[in-house]
Amino acid sequence: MLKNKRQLKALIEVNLLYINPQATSRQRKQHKNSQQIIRSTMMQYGLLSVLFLFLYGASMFVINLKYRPGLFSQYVMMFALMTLAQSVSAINNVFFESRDLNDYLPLPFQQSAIFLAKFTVIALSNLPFVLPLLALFILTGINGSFGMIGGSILGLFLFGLFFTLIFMLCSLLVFGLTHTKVYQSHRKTFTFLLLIVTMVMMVIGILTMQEHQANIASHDAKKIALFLPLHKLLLQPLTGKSLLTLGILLISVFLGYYLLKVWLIPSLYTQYNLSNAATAAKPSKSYHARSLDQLLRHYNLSLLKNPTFLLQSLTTTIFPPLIMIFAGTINQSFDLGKLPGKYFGVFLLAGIALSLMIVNQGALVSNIISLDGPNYAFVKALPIKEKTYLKRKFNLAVGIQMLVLLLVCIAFWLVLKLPFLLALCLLIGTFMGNFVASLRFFARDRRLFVPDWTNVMQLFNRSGGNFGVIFGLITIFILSIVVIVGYVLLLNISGIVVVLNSVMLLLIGLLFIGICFYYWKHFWQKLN
Amino acid sequence: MITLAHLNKVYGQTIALKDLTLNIKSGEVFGFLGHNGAGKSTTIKSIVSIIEPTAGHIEVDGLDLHQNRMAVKQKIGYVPDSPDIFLQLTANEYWHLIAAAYDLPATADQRLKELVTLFDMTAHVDEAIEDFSHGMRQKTVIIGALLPDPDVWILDEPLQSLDPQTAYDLKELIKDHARRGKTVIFSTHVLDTAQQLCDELAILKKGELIYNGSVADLLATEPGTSLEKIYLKMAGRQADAQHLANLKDDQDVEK
Repeated sequence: MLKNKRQLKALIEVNLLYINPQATSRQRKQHKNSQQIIRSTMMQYGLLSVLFLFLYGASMFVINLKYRPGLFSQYVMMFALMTLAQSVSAINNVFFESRDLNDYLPLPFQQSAIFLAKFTVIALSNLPFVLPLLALFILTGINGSFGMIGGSILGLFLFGLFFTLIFMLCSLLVFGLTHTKVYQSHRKTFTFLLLIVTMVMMVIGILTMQEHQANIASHDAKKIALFLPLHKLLLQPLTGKSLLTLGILLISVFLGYYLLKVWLIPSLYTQYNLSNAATAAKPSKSYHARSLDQLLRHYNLSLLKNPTFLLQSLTTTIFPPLIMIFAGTINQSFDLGKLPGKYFGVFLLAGIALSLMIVNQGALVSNIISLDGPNYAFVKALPIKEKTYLKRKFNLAVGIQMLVLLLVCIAFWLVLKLPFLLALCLLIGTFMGNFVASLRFFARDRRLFVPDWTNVMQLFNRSGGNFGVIFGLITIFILSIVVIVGYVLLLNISGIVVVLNSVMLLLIGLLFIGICFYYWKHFWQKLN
Repeated sequence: MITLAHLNKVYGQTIALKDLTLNIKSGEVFGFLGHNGAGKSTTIKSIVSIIEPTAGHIEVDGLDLHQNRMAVKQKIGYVPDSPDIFLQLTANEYWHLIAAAYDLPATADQRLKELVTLFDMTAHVDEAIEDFSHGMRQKTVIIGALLPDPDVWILDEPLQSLDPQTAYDLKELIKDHARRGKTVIFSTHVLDTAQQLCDELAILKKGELIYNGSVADLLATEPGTSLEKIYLKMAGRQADAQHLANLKDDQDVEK
């Protein structure tokens, strides 16, 4: 038992050091020891959790959830979906994508200790997303028949039960799927589908939130029957129905625990081996390339076929601005079909702004060099010009991003019912923005190249990390709104539309050429 | 004593190990020789629980690996073919993880100090493994494997990237480990090292055992010939050509 405790402690510490490798190595450079790094990591998650708890708690505090069962049920659904999505992605990342599980296999660690340590860290990193549930449960509980203290304890207890249940569901889902033959033979496709499905669930959760925000002021939101018994349980815990709910929850948790202990944990090793065997059993498709170009394209495409990378890339690039924009339009119908052509410059600018928000440090172009890993150093030693090699990478990544942006523009064209000319300007704007942002992030990827990354998050966390992405996104969003609104006002107030549009076109053109020239001179030319 | 009985490993259509049966005695240095893809690493990874064999079983000191995985792991110290493990940890953090895994007493700190000094790593204990050269990563992993003073020490191509002094020290450690009645198993492509260190050899070819016995016995089959020549005759192109010729002769006789 003592040995298990010691092993568990050591494993949790290792996993905490792995949780954000970039931050760990940054702190090592400041001569901090492992205990200090672990404390700082815990503190960071703790503070973030308190911040989330306060933000959501404050917004819930003003509503008496006792009389809003519908709103309560929607909140539970939203946070449950978000936790589910986050956990599925984290479980997949920590257990199957991170390459360290193999390293533990020869060591005499109990599998349950490895499993528990990894789960503790996943739980910690998900805590900020689930803590609003704690606020929700406690704020509802204190309005119930148990009073302030009793209600708080009940809320805390139910939160623990609910949280555990969701985690167990995620584990059973991910590990259960890996038991199937279909998964073993189509591992990458299944992983990608699983992650996409959970991500869509998360988006639904966020949109649900947006929808019910509109209803808060007026009346209660639509009730979700599945979660109403929880509301009842928090308010009137001693009624027959509430006790039945509690019983079902407890039985579900025990059943989940039993399945995990008897079926899942003992087969963790076998599953890992099966997934390795499946990979080894499937010989890669032979590729008869005719030219270096084709070979490089094939190689670069194979680098991008990493489900976790693709999903994380989508999550950090395309989803945030789309959610931000679509959430604002979901409850209203827009018809910009009659918008006059004089606004073409506005849409050109909007396109540029949109692509600048999408092409960030999580984009394909921002990581495609680092995806090479140690191969990049080797390629440099080959008789291939580095410039040629990198140009192939750049063109491919920019091309794929342009395709994605084309789809986004088509979506905007249809949703906003834009005239063709304005939609075309939006598209041209996105292409221009995509190109210059790609130049910037491609050069950055080479500058901050990570040869021995083990987890894609290491690549995304370079420099500013997630906070950097969010900060950049918000800054571009606010700046774009200021510039675009100012431009629209000028177009409407002044009578010099042609002059204004010409000046704007000239400015955009000059800026575009200037940036391209800068990167041509300071990046591409230097590769020679 | 380690027993491998009828060990098989199949990856899809590829047979990595075919009915491998071996006995490795305590107190000896046992070497696996073979070309790339011969099955050396597959055998070693099966013993250290990284790979699950398709069939057959493994026993270490009378303990069946499948039934007593933890107890068997406790007896083994393993140096993988690639030392790129736990890269985000510092060397010290890695060794403390090993100490926790084997539940080593506090006295192991003294042994750790000795090993760190021996491998000339004192100045680097608090540096991240990812910042180490390949050779230093190799040293870190070797120290980790030796820290629990295991009954069985298994090394997969251990001499790659080591400087001459460290390579010499490692060979001495291997000999010393065996002298103390413990078992050392290692794989190598370097025949001189095998000749220098091994009490017994297993030569594998395409997953099959083609020789098992002492180095002396093998050398005695062709007196005056080097181990390299004998090995290549058994496992190299020459053997393939001979095998083809024999097949052709058999077919001619049948006709």
